[in-house]
Amino acid sequence: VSIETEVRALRSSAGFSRTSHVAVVCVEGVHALDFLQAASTQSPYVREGRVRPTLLLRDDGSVLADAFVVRAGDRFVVFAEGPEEDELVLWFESLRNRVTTRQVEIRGMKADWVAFGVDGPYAFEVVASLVGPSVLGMPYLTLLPRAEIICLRAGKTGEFGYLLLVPRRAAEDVEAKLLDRGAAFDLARVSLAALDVCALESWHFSMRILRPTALASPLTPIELQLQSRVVHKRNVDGAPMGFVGAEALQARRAEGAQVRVTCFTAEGPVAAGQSIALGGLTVGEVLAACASPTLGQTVGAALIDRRFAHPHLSLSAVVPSGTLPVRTRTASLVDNLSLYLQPHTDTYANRRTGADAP
Amino acid sequence: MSDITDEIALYLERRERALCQVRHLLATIIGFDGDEADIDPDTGLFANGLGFDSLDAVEILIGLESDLGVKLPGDDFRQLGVRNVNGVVDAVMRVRGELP
Repeated sequence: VSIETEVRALRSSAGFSRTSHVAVVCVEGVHALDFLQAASTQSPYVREGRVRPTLLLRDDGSVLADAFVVRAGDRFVVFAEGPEEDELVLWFESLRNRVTTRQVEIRGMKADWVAFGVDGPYAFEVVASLVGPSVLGMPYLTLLPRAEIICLRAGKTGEFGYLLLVPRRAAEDVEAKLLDRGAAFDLARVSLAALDVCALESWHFSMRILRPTALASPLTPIELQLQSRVVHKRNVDGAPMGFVGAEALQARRAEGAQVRVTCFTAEGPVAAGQSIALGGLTVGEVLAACASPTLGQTVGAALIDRRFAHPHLSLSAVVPSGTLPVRTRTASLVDNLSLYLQPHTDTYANRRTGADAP
Repeated sequence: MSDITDEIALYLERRERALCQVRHLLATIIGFDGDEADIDPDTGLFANGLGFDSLDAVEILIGLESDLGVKLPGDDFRQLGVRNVNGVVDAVMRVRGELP
């Protein structure tokens, strides 16, 4: 199956993925909340049933992980993209030794659990066929715990998206059921590469766009336009609470970031690392780019000098054959079908097609 | 900077001005107590971005008209293609005839 077919499924029906790239770590104990306050850029203080998007930073302010934190009873579960699960557990353990000697238990969950992803405009129907109709009423960034399956609504494609955490012993059976029931909704298996294309088209951050660059070392949430996920002013028991990477981030704010990640399109192939120019002036560098089956263009993310990091500018990418016109754009580039669907009333069977389509 | 035409320089100046105005309006509506410059231009208005809801969206429309003198050609952000801060800036600049 080509990536174009996978992306088409993600944009028009639904895609199933084994999300082996997502580390799942349980943090529990009486001081789990305080510990996660120190670990993440957002306060993990969330009501049960809510999902908190956050970041885990290294001491230098670079992004270690793009994470969701959920509270389930007395424990927290961290779903993180970036590090492998073992690496993340070691990072948490090392942090526990640094910031507190109080009781916090940290344990990787994927020995006993398997994570699946279902994304697409009709993903709600696929997941409801397995988990039940409660899925239809789930707002974005919420959790639906079931006896056998933990279901998060937290997609990164611009369409409806669900992350399912299933006990390993039941995983094969759940996967078979999903694919079987999903056939009625043209559910397709999709790869991480296809999910990343959709993330770029819809301008969702992905850890896979990160690469070393001389333009900003390290790349922090400031350059990456992720500051909405950083809460500097936090108090725990009346005292200011910092987090790993906070000092580096404050220093970068004080000195002023020089570049900002910016969305662009091009009419030909562009590759990561290629320079972006305005006339004869180099103003940036491509972080990531791919062919977009949805738009029929190349879409990408570039680090651009902040003076020029705005949409609607005609720039050029320096490619091996010379230069290629690129245009900075206002994200997101896709008018997602999911924006027009109501899970309680719309179904894949009665979908509107052709001129009647939203 | 000789590669920057007057036209581009003017656009960038107007863009920065509109961005600053929009950031201030949005910060006021959500009661943002940080540095307004920390509101990234691609930050989403809803959900895991600035966390606006549909009532806030109405406040944005009212604020654009009362504070910036900009009346958008509609009241549905989805139909206007406005999903993030830059989308609001685009809408403002479009009404002002400042988009290239």
